[in-house]
Amino acid sequence: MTTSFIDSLTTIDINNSNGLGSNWIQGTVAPNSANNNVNGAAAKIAVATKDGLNCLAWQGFGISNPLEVTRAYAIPIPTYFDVRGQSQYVKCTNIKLAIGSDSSELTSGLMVQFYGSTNTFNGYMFQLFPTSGRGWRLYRANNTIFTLLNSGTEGVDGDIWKLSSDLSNSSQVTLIVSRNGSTLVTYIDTSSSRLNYGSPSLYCQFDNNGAIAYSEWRTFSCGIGL
Amino acid sequence: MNFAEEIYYRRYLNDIISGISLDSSIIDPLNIVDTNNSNGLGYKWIQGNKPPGGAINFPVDTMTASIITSTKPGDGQLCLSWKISGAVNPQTDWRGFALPLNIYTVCLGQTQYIQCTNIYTIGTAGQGTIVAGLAVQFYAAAQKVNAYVFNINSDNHNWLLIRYNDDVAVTLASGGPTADGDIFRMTSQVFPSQNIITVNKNNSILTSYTDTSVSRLNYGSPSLWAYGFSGNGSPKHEWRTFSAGIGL
Repeated sequence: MTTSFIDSLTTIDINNSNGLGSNWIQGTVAPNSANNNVNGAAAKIAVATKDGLNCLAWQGFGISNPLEVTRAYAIPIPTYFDVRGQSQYVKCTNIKLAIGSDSSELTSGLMVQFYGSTNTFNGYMFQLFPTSGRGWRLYRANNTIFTLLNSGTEGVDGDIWKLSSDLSNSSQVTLIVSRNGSTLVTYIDTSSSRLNYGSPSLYCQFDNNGAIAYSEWRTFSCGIGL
Repeated sequence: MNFAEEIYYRRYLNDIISGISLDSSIIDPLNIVDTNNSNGLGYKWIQGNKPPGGAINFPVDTMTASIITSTKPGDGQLCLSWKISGAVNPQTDWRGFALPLNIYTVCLGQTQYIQCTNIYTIGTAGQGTIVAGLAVQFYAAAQKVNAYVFNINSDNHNWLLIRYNDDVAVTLASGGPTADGDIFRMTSQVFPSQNIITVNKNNSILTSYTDTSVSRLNYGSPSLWAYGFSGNGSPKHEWRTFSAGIGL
């Protein structure tokens, strides 16, 4: 069994310099509707604009005022089968988050119970976004229908974020977001739409315009437990 | 023991020694509704799209896969069906994949096979097209498409064998037409100085290409694959009886 996984996110993929390493898969979930002009995001290991060291850098592509944004994932495979549907955590350091010169932005973060088998988006996601300083949102996505569970404005570059889902009570999913080791928010999901069959993942979407925006991450870990 | 068998047994023994509980093969009839989510393919699968390299011209189309009832007249059974989302006459089409995860790590870069039955493909040129099929050495860790792809065009049942390096396509072979019900098996036999890509149709060799270029791929895994262009029609691409793994 592989119940935990650690990746510094600083090692260039030896197979393909546009990759994340053979322990990862990345892709984009198709949008729910048939909108024509969509924006997307993808990740690679690249030099951080923050400090000159390697990191996982999300890149956006698209146009001004897209009709819809697509959601991208980067999911670690070694833990997928053993962690899927269990109490689980994902942890990563956000070394830089900043808007582009034309206010384009990458909204990115962590997911638990993400289920990549579907043609729609399913998972709990903790998003960080750089608009108007810094903000965060905690969502549940059921078949690409997004329910906002909580939100706030905390966060600076360098924060260590952790998202966990506790399934020990079969009638609820308890989500905990911690920032630098302290609990930021706890949400108990008792709805019939709660999710308990996915695995940890990274997440990103690209909003607005076409300039370079910044979302850089390092020091990843995930696994069974909280 | 030949080269492929040697690789297989070395990997198998390594897996036992390291205690990794991964599979070296998968069989899936592709006719079972996902118990977790009816929009899924089953928990052993992951699907997604790869944006194409270079500038994206809008509008775009994307692909999704579902286990649904086949539209083939008289069939009525479940199957994996590809569907296009997006605009009529798109300027850019994203590449969809449906990848079996349980063999991903074990198969990476090894001699590998993928087999599936194309039960129904239909479309009308100019009214929407789905191009779908099989891939070996598909490397899903990368932003862009890297794979050997065998695909069938719904306009005319013609096929192409293509190598993609970071989304740059090189056509290696072509032909057609194929027929509904054909069983396709694609293999990648990896040697130090070459990669032999072979496609069988109904157990007979359809095409074989020996790739000795510096761009040959030897670090991916098997996957299903599709892209398309929306039109005013309803092209179909339906598949069933899937298998993949290490070996030929």
